[in-house]
Amino acid sequence: MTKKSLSHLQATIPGFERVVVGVKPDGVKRALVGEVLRRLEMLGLKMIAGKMLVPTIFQAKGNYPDITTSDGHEWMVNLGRKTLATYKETERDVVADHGTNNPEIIGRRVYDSLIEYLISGPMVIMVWEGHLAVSQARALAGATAPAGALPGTIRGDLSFDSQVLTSAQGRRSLRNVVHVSGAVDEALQEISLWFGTEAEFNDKYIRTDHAAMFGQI
Amino acid sequence: MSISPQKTIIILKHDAVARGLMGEILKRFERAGLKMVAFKFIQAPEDLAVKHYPSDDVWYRTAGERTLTEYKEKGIDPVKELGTADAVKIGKLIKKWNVDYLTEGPILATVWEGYDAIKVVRKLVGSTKPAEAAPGTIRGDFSIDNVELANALKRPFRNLVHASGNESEAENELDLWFEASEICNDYFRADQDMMFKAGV
Repeated sequence: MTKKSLSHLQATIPGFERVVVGVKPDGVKRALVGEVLRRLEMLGLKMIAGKMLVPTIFQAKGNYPDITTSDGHEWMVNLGRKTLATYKETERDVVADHGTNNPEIIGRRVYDSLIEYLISGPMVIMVWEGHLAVSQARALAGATAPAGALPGTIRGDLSFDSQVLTSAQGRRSLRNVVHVSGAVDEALQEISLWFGTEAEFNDKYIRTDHAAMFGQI
Repeated sequence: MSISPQKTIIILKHDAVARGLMGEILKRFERAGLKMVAFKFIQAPEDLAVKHYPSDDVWYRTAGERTLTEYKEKGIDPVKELGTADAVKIGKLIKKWNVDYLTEGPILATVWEGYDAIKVVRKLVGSTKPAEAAPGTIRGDFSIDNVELANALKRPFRNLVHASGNESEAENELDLWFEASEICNDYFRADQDMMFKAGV
């Protein structure tokens, strides 16, 4: 990121962060874009970029770890292990559904379904900023699986999808309304992925309520 | 009336952005059943904002005369307030303030699709002047700005949103603000068939 794209706040506020929040295809189809934005705005985060697009396969893959690296491969196999654990918990036969209990093969299927889901329709991809914006936005979004997300969170209030449902239906990915960057460094990668490395942000404005919320800034 | 879906432009102007009202406003169009097909958070370049409003003497004169009529009704002296009683000059001032308003900070430009979308959106937005906008409309619920006050302070009159006024405006604004590649209308709202399809 270029220096001129950094907000004047960034230099002065400790823990100043940017986070990518995406309304996923299920959120767009369910017309929940305004509701998601409203919650981020009410918390006090500031939007500095946003666009609607149908992700390319390249962008969708870039949103997850690179499975051609050893770390990414391990992450993918772990997706398979999680699916196996769900089958075990619910006392169902994974081999009957998948023809195998190999976590690598199942992990790859889960991965493919994640990509398929992201490219299945338009998303609204945004960048928001503020003090500890990554953890703030993650708290607002709630746990990854909506069924386990607390009421008051975006996922807890707007869905109850779960791994049990997705695995019972075979090959679909979990639909959880929003994507939120997992960590500060992930957020930086995702900003480059969705907005380019030279992106200029519309961050030269001050929310009218920020002085009342945080003092003179 | 056409029974194929119409497209219309809605711009959430900078006061809506800075006041944190974007989600609340988008929600109202989504709730009504309109389909959002484009969304971008941008700083409008000045030349684009200039093109957004007409630049001919007819438009200037109409806008200026509207102001002069209102000033007359309210007993306000246009020369004292605006430095002139010439309708075209006043129209140009109004245009300048409108351009300032569109460029004063980031805005959210969106495109929506639906049957009679232009009229439906304008109904939800409410009258141009917040004092005349009905409760339940966006302007009626979220603004009380006043044209005379804005003019007296030599600042834009702020009313949160712009919505295309008619089909030809919508077409021109679509060309002006959006590339074809930015329109994402290749999807179905989850509730679309229940709202519009026969025999569900």
